[in-house]
Amino acid sequence: MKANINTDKLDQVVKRLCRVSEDNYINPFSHLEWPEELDKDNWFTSPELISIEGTPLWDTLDETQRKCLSFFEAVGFYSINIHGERMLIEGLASRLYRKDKYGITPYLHHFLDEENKHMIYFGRFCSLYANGPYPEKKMKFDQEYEDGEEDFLFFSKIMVFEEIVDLFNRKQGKDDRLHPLAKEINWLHHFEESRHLGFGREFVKVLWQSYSAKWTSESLKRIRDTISSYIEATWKEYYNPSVYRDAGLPDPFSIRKMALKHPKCIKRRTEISAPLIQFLSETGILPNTEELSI
Amino acid sequence: MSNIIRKKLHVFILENCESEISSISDNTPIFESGLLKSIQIMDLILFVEEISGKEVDVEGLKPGSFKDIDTIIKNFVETKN
Repeated sequence: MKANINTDKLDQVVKRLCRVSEDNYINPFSHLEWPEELDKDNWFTSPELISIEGTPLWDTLDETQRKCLSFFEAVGFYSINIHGERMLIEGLASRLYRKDKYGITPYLHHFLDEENKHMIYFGRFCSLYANGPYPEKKMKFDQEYEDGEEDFLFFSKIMVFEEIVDLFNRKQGKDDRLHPLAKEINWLHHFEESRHLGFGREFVKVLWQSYSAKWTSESLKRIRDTISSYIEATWKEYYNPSVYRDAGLPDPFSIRKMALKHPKCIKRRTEISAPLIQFLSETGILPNTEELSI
Repeated sequence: MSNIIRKKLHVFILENCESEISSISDNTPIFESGLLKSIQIMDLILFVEEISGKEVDVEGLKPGSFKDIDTIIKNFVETKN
């Protein structure tokens, strides 16, 4: 049931974003040029965003090895996007035309359309130039929810996933060191994703205001734990042993463990997560953000 | 071989669970009993891959695939390929 919450701002955001999406429609099949082969003597991920950058292992790699790793990190990053967007599309589609969705269906159509386009870019890159996307090492567990909890967690998880991804896209979409195709994919994703972020924050805030007061303290704790754990798990996906293996690095599982604990990597994750954490803290969704394990 | 893997799984679960317990059996439900949270499934899958030396085929996985240590051994260690 729709609670008595002022949704004027959300209504305005929905109308504005629908207009912008219509005015900036991109055809995913013709917009990018896909060379038959990629010159691998290029950066495909900004060096500062490579998962092991700043570790002693990184220091031992020469430029050719670093560029090779940057290619497989890009495939890993695009795979994360594909799997995140697949979850998103499933969830958004099931929420179309539901009576209690605060009039967001018009924008959900654009959201779905744009996410599908992103998957086309990411999937095509992984399929043309690598052995397809890396598989997602996750699965769903059945769970019972309180009123509003499932929607709140779904849109909160989308927000976490998209905010982290977008920081990578924003930086890499402007990075002239990157191969032009990698730079363009990142820029395109950021260009459309920035609209989703505006919607995501506003809608998560509305859902929180609508339902959180009704949840028991036990449920609130569970919901907060879920969001905190999701942030941690999202980051762990960026440390993919298959990426290290394909880049020719020895003992890929140990590399993952090393990088997850390395202070430079923790610092990078903390800095990238900072705007998201600030939002979660200011809205009261996560009041004790200093306890977060990132 | 599978006994060594079994022991490693015991250690992994005890190290990663929030409960203050010192031992579990091979039949203790891992997720159902809350030993591990569902969000930790990725860590468990990667750990199984590391200790078994085989990639876990994630398509078609169900929560029951990782029900307990016996089930993990049966599904991912004692299988061919």
